[in-house]
Amino acid sequence: MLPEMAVAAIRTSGLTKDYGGGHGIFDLDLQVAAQQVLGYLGPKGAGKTTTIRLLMGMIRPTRGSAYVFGLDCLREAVEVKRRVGYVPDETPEFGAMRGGEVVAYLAGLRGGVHKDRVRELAERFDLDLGRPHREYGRDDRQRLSIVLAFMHDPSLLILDEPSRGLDEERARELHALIDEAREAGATILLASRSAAEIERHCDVVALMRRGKLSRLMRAEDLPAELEERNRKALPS
Amino acid sequence: MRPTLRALREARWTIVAFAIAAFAMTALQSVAYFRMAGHTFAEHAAFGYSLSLEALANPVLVPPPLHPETVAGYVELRAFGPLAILFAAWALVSATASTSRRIVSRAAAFAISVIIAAAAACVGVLIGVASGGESVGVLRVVEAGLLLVALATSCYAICLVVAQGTSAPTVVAGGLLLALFFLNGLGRVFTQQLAEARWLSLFRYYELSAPLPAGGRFDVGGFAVLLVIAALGIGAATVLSTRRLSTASMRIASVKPRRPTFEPSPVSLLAFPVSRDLYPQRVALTAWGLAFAALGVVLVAAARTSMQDLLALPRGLPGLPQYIFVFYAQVLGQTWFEVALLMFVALVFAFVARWAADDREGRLETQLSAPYSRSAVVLERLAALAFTSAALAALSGLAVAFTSGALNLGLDPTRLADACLVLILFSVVLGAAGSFLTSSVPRAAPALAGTLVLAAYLDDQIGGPLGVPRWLQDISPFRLVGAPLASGVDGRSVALLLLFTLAFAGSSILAMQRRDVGA
Repeated sequence: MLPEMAVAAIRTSGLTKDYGGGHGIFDLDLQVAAQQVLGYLGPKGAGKTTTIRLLMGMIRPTRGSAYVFGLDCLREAVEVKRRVGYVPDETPEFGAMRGGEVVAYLAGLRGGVHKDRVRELAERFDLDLGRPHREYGRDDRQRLSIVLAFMHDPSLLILDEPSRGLDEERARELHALIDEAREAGATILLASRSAAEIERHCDVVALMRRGKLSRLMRAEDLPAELEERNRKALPS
Repeated sequence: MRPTLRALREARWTIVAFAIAAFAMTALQSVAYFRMAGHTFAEHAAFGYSLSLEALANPVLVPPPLHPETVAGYVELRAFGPLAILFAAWALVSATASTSRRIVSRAAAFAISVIIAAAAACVGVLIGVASGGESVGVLRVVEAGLLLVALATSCYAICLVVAQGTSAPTVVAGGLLLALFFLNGLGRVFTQQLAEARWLSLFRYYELSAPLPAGGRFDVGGFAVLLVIAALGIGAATVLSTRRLSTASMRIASVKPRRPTFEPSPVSLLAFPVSRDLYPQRVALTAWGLAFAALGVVLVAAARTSMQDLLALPRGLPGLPQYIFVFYAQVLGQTWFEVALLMFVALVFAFVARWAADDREGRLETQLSAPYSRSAVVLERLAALAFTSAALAALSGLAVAFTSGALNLGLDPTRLADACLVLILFSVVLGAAGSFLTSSVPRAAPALAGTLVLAAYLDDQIGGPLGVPRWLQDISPFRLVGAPLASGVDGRSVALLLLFTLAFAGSSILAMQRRDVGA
């Protein structure tokens, strides 16, 4: 057993980021076991991206704590990120740098990335790494983010709406890639607004609503839960 | 109308910053005049003479002043001169930073912004001059403000045109503006060789007018040329933008798809600290290197001509130095060293703007998603700036040394090396301050950095007459650099520059650790 499997892959305790006016996340207690796939489902503004940014150490919590493989997400951020692959909510802007240069730059920061793996991922997603980033369309940028997240075969994948902007074929490729990562033993946190996507991949689903964890359930219970919610929402 | 209002709303903090800077520059310089120029006619005359000598020693940056012994002449020289450079830089950044296709709306918003800032400068003159119990004609002040607006909008239009045809608009347009600025400045020195070419520079048309001092004039022809350049430039940029979009879509439709590449870049520079930060800026850095080297060569030649002009002055006048060796070093200190300081300010500003953009455009979040600490981000940025500054200072210093040697001008190589070292420290201390601002308030960092540099410049130049405490004047980086070519470096000043660099770098790391990224 890998040492990483002995502790929870993700653990948050009373995690709160209060932006004021009811925005943010509040008292989030969450535990994701190693090799588990957690679906993080909720509408826009539910707090999915805020949770992910807290786990990535990008923002500081108002209170509470977050750990990844037992490592403090703030104090041991560098060690955490060695183990994590991340698709952000918004794709960055790299101007005149070519896709291949962006990959080489981030591979240099990370270390231990194999060229063959990059080539394989770029080919699978048909991403031309010879073009300047500024010429990339929205789907190209999303595909580049996916390549960057998967290129070092991380133990934990944190994916914030990874299929957004992808066409059907590329979305299928992404789903295949997530399945492969799961089979290889990776833990996955998949944030999405699509119930179908969550249902397809996840073992456990966390339903977020207005910054709070409204329910934690098994993925197979999700359709019934959503049906029940729809029924309640309909006027009698 | 709505896009213009939106552009104005987006630029509101920049407008406020430039308006404050313009007001402070004119008001404080006016107030400082009354405290520096003395009270008697003889004192005023001596003060004016010293300013004329200073301009004669540095004709590339400073035009010959008109009645510098009067408050109006002084403000024209010391406030509106620097403001013209500041507004040209503003035009460059505004025209090349935005990718919006609404060119006319953007240009209108910029013109309105500049009018607001120029109005603030005019109010500053009126208040500052009134504080000394004197007055200056309102029409003359308005004319000075209008000239600033015309210069800034014509610079903006030229940069807009350039931006339509290049993938590195800031570098190319900045290089062009710099070339036009120095074409005019060098035209003052090499009057015969550049007499015709000088008319190609829009700064020449600005300089035809000097409306504030008595005997000065508002050159309607020059003003009209600037407005015509602005109008034609904006029109041309609009046409080019439309054509570029249509040809781009046609090209996409007609060009045979090229073979895609799935390999990461083989460039090994991307794998190492510092070089990976500088590699994406290689085109801009090459342009900086060429500019620094070219100016090193040209300014030595300009210093020799200025020296000859100064030597032609009647002996025994106050202010003329005794020894030719010291004299050349002093003149070179006025020309090359001061221009180099200005260029390093621009370089640091470019770095700070890029760091702020890293944050705004999501690159910092991507960097931090790798196992790369926030302290490393700060330290690598500063190391990249230090490396660049060292390379540029060395390049410019070598150009100065070789040209001085070729022209048989004696220059102490140790002093030249000292000057290069001081330039590097100057750049790094400003960069560290900029890094602190970027780590604390990334969105406002470029505007705040500009304000800080202006405050440091005014602190050094007029801090004494304005009653700024001595210790505060002594810590301005512009004061700490001293005059290394003429009098060598002062160990205490170097130690202070290093200390400030360390203090800003440390604060920058702390601020970066504590703040939210991408929120």
